Parts: sequence; C-alpha cells; structure tokens
Amino acid sequence: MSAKLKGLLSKPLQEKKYQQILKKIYVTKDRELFQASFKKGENGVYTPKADLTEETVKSLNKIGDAVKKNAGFGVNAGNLILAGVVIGGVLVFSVVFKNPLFAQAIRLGLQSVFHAKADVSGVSVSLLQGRVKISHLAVADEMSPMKNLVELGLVEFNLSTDALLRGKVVIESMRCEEIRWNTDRKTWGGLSASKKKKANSGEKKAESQSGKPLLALPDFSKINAGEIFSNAMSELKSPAVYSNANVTMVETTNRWAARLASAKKSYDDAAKQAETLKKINVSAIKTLQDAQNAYNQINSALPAFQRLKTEADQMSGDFSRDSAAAKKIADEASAALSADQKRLFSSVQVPGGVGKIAGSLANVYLSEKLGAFYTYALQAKKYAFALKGSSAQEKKAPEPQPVRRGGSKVYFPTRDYPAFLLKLMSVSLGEKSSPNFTSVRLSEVTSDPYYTKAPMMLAFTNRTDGVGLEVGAGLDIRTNAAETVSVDFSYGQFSFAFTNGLDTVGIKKLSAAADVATTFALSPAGVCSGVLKVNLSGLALDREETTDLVKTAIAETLLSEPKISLSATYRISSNETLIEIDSSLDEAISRRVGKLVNDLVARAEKELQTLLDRSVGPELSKYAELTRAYQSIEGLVSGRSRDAASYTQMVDQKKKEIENRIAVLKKQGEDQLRDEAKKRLNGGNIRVPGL
Amino acid sequence: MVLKWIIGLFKVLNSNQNPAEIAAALAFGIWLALIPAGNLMWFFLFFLTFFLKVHQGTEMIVLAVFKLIAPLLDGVLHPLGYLTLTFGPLQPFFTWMAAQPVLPLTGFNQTTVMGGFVAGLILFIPLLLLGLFLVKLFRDRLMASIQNSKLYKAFMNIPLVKSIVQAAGTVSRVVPKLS
Repeated sequence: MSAKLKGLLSKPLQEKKYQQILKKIYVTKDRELFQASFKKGENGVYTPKADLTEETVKSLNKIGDAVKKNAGFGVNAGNLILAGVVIGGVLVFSVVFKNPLFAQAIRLGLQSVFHAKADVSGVSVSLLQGRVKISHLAVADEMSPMKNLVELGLVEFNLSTDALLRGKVVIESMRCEEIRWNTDRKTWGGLSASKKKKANSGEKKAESQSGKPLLALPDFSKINAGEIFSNAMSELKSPAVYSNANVTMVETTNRWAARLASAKKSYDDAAKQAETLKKINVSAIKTLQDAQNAYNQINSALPAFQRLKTEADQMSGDFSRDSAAAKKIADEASAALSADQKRLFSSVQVPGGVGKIAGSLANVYLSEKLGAFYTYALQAKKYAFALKGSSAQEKKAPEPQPVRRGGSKVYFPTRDYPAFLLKLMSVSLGEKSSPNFTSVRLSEVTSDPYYTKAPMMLAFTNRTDGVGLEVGAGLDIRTNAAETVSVDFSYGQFSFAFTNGLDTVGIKKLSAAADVATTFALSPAGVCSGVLKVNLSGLALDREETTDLVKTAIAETLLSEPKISLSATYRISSNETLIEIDSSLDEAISRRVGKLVNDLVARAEKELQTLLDRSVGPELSKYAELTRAYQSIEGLVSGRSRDAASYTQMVDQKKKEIENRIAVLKKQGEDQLRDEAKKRLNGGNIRVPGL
Repeated sequence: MVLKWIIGLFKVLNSNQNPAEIAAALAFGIWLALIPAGNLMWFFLFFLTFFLKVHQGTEMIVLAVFKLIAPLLDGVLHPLGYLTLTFGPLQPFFTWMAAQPVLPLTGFNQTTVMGGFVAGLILFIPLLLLGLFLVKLFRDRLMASIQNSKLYKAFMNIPLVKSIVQAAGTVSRVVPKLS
C-alpha cells in the first residue's frame, strides 16, 4: 500500500469517534467500505486493515474529507468570517472615503437637479452626528454655462439620522456663511458639448433680436403738403367722380328741357281753353238752352284736360326717378370727395402710438426683463420637478385591494420621509436693521411636496445703503396647486440704462433709477401673469442732434417730469407676451406733443384742402351750376303738374255748377208750367187730381 | 449552465453531503422563490443561507426552478399576505415595523412579499423533512438503479457532459466507471 490514510482516519479511532464518523457517512456503500476497512483491536480501538488497496485508501480519504466537512452545528463559520471581513472592509472604506463619497453624491444630486455642473469641495461628514460641512459649493447656470447660478461659501447642515437610515435625506437646518449669485466661472458649466452649442446659438439669437426699432414716428417738421398731394394724386377719386356726375347731369337736364319744350304747346292750348271756360258765368245763364250749350262746351274740353293731367303725372313720376338717380350721384360724388380728403389727411395723422410713447418704449425694456422673470419661473419649476422626480405622488388613503397578480401595498400609519427635504436654510449677513443686509431663507424644499403640504419658499433680501432687492417666492408643484410659482419682487433704486428702440424718439441712451415692484404667478399651464409698478427718478438722456419738433418735444417732456410712474399688466406664455402699460408720462407727452402735433397737422390739412379744392374745383363748380339748372327744371315740371291739376279741377267744378244750374232751371220751368195749368183749370172748373 | 447545475446536484446526491444541508437548501430555495426579489427581506434571507450549512448549489437550482413558477402562485400569495398584514393582533407590530428605519425596505407591507414569506415559513419544516426523506430515498434506493440505467449511461457519455463532469472533478465517485 503506497497511499496512506490522511486526516481524520490516519490515527486509530476510539469506539466513540468511530461511531461518530460512521454516523456522518450517509452513502450505504461508503459506510460498508468504511466498516470493512477498519478492524477493532483487543483494546477496543479501531485501526485500518493492513491489506487495503490503493483505491480503497483513496476512497477512505474522500470519505474522511466529507465527514470532516459535515461536522459543526449548522453555521458556516467560514462564510460568516468572510462576510464579516467584507462588511468590515466596506465600513472602513466608507469611513476613510466617506468625504469624497459624499462630495460625489452631492455633486451628482445637484447636477441631476440643475442640469449643469456642480463643484463641491472641502466636504467633511460626521455620520454619527449627522452633520455635513462643505467649504465651497458652486452650481453652474444651465442657460449661461460660464456663470454660476449660485455659489456658497462655508455650508453646514444637519441631517436627520433617522431619515438617513431610511435612505432619505432630510436636512433639518442649514447654515451658510456666504452666498453669491451669477458669479463668473473659469470652466464650462454645461454638462455636455451639444448643450454648449445650443446655449451659444441661443445667445446669438437673443443678440440678433435686440435693438430692433419698435416705434415709428413721422417727422412732423418736414411735412410737405404739395408733395403729399402730388404723391396721392393718382389715388384721388373725387375729380373723376364729379366729372362723371356732371356728364350725367348735363344729359338729364337736356333731356328734360326737350321734354318740357315738346309739351309746351299742349299746356299753352290748355291754358287758353281753361281761360275760356273759366269765363263762363254760370249764374248768368237763364235758359236751359244756354246751360246745355255751356255744358256741351265743357264736356268737349274735359278729355283734353284729363289727358294733360295724366301726362303731367307721368312727367312728375319720371322726374322723381331721375331726381333720385341724380341725388345718388351727388351722394357718391360727395363721399368720394370726403374719402379723398380723409386719405390726404391720413398722411399727416398722428399714429395712435404717439400718445403711448412711454408705454411703447417701456415695452421694449420690459419684454426683455419680464421674459427673464418668466424664464426664471420656468427654470424654478423645472428644478422643482427634477427634485421631485417620479417618486412623489398624491398620497391616497389605503384601500382594501382586490385579489390580483403582483400584489399590492398595505399602508400603515407612519411617518414617511420624502427622498429629500430641506426644512430650513437661512443665511444672513449683517444686522437686519442695518442699511447693509443680505439674507436668504429657503424652507420646505423637498422631493415630495405632498409630505410638507406646503409650497417651497424662498425669501431673499439684499440691501445696500438702505435700498436693494427683496424677493418672496413660493413654488408649489402639487397637481392641485392653483399657482406653480408665485413671486413678490421689489427692487429699490435700481439703476438701469437702455438704448433699444430709443432712436425713433431721438434718444441714444436713457438712464434712470427705478423703484420696481411686481407680483406675478405662474400657472400650472405655464402662463405667467402679474402686475408691475415702476417709479422712475433721476432720468438722464443722451440725445441725438435733431430738428424734428416731435422728437425734441418728447425728450423735453421726459426731462421735465421729475418722477415717472408706470404700471404694467402682463401675461407671458411660451408663444406670446402681452404687456399693457399705463404711464403718467403718456399723459404729459400727449399734452405737450399732442398740441404740437395737432397744430402741425391742422396746418398741413388746411394746405391739403386747398390743393384738393383746386383739383376738384372746376368740376365741382360745373356740378353746382348743373344742379341749379336741374333745380329750375324741377320747378317747371312741378308747375306744369300743378297747372294740369288745377285746370282739371276747375273744369270739373264748372261742370258741376252747370249741372246744378240746369237742375234749377228745370225746376223753375216745371213750377211755371204747373202754375199756368192751375190757372187754366181754375177758370174752366176742371179739377185735376193732385193739383 | 443548467446542465452543470444538474450534474452538480447529482454529485451532491451521490456524495456524503449531509442530507440536512440538501433538505435545507430545498426549503430555503423554495422560500426565496416564493418571495418576490428586490427587497431587503429577500436579500436578508438569501445572505442568511450563506452563513448556514445549506448546500448553495442545490439552493440555487431550486431557486431558479421555482422562481419560474412562483408568479403563478401570486393568486394564493396575495390573499395570504393580505390576510396576514390585515390580521388585527399583528397591526401594532406592523405599524411599529413601518415606523422603524430600514425595516420598511424589506417590503413587508407588500402582500406578495408577506404572502411568500409566510408561505415559506409554514412550508419550511415540511419541506425540510421532505428533503431528508427524498435524499435518503435517492441514496438508498434510486442511486444504484439510476447509475446502472442505460439512459443515465448514454447521458453521461455525451462529450459535453463528460467534459463538465471532468472539469467538476467528479471522476471516481459519481461516475466510477468512467474513471
């Protein structure tokens, strides 16, 4: 036997040990091999048999190894030690490298929220006390990567260890010794090169949009009525309209003159006839024969009078129609003249914006500044949503869940920290009552606004020599929030200067000090609306050399006003900016510039009127003459009509009179006959019944 | 990989590995399969088995196999978990757990997690006993007949299987005839 038994089986085995080994051999064949390989001596000790083959020895050694492995009380001591070493190593690593690890975690966290580089240095963490110190922290501005959005000096904050053990970051309080905004960076603060290009192109676009003129004022000192008139000549319609009207009037007048002439004989005959009939003295007619003759004379003349009346009525109707047509032409001509006058005067009219010059100028500046507010509000909203992530949702009361695959959560009443919560950060430099004071206060900044049930709040004060900036802002990203961002902003004695759009009023540069106050809100739909109030003082102008009276008047008005107040109501969304501005300056400008402009305009209008009159004059005079001629025709026509009517009436009257006279004469004749007959009968004693 | 696991299982069954370790591997494997992964409870149980005398290979095979069918048991695990979580006398305990740090990360308030945990706990002892019985049955009754079966021999003669077996160092005891 070249191979030897090793380990557990290399030594003689006592009875107890032998039984223990036998108990731990679980394969029957192996147990039998083990039993067959050992013999029990007289002293009760088991020793290996001498004739064991090499193969048997190998098998026994493997059995021995397996038995050794099966020893113990159910705990894998080796793995336990290994795990202890690993955990210990991790703990040591964490302790040794906790500061750089925390620095990296803070850096990545800030970068994910602000989408720009964050620089964190001098991080010192005390896990047991839950205290973190950062000697310097700077977050770049995503929109301007060469600027820092905020830069902090020494920052100390206390973390809630309870929340930290639940994997949540809750900052109980935060203290900061120095805070600065919009500081310059030495390195690019964007997170990627593509964004760098985008930011550059955005800047260029902004540059190209600035400086465009927004108000176009005519140069009133250079009004040339003759030039305006000659330029507008081709567009004037009244001369042509009056010329056409005159042609029509001539044609109409001639036509009626001819018609009246042709009817003249009939009227003259009728007049003679009427005169003859008028002379018949009905009361002088004594006999029936004379009456009958007069009656026949009237009857024979009557149809001619009736015909004349019909013709006169016809003529009157025709004339009325022609008169209506002539009136229409007259109206058209008059309207054309008015339109031409209006067109000419419009060339020298004051544009509606003149009275709103201050508003228009302020609009240029405010569009930029309020646009920046809007951008900041959107940016704040974006940061808040980035902080919120997808974890925070409206908390609902736990409800019994139906049986379904995948299961559901059962909620227990407990305090559930949000992933991130900054309860309070307060920085103040200087005494609150002193003229130089800076203070920043951030509260309830959280990844889960439903936890705090309140908006995130920012209060910022920066006062130098008693004046400066004050901001109070609320940021509410809960789905049912009425306003996502609400801001109260005021800036005292804010010095500014601007040039955009001023060249239109003859000013190169305007500078002033302003007290600015605004309250605005950003709705969940992304519409920003608010009211801005500005009080300007110490206005200074850099003026252009100009002869323009209006520009001069505007500039002088600006300088003469000691204080200018301005109120702007604005509404800004992603696709439009609406700003309505009212200013005390507008009234002053309206007063001063308005009078000047009105005088200039009145003078120009007078000149233009003269030119227009000169242009339309001949046709207009002719038209007036024709109108007079036409009006005389109108008199003739109506006279004829009246005559015809009176003739007919007179004949009818005469006819009735004669008829009455005949009746009277008849009655008289009858009465005479009766009296004669009575006499004769009374003489002959003849009685006639009824007499 | 699966083949390697199967061969590894045969090796264990044919070796003098403590049957209790194999039976415990069966019980823990099924327990882990019943609990949805991705929570601290599952990881805790999983790492616990590393510190106990549990045959890891067997546990992995059982876990892998039962993990495939565990989702089919959600219909049972969900109500079981829900009943447990809403069981009145346990409410103070669960409320206390929810208020503690770390413990909520176990996902205990998830019905399928709790259902899987409770089911595994209830089944642990029966599965342990079943495992012991099966190992003993295999070693005493089935091992010899399987080793002598034509199917087994043909399987073990597959070149890939041979190479795996040799790589695993199972030469003399598992397939004595090959060595």
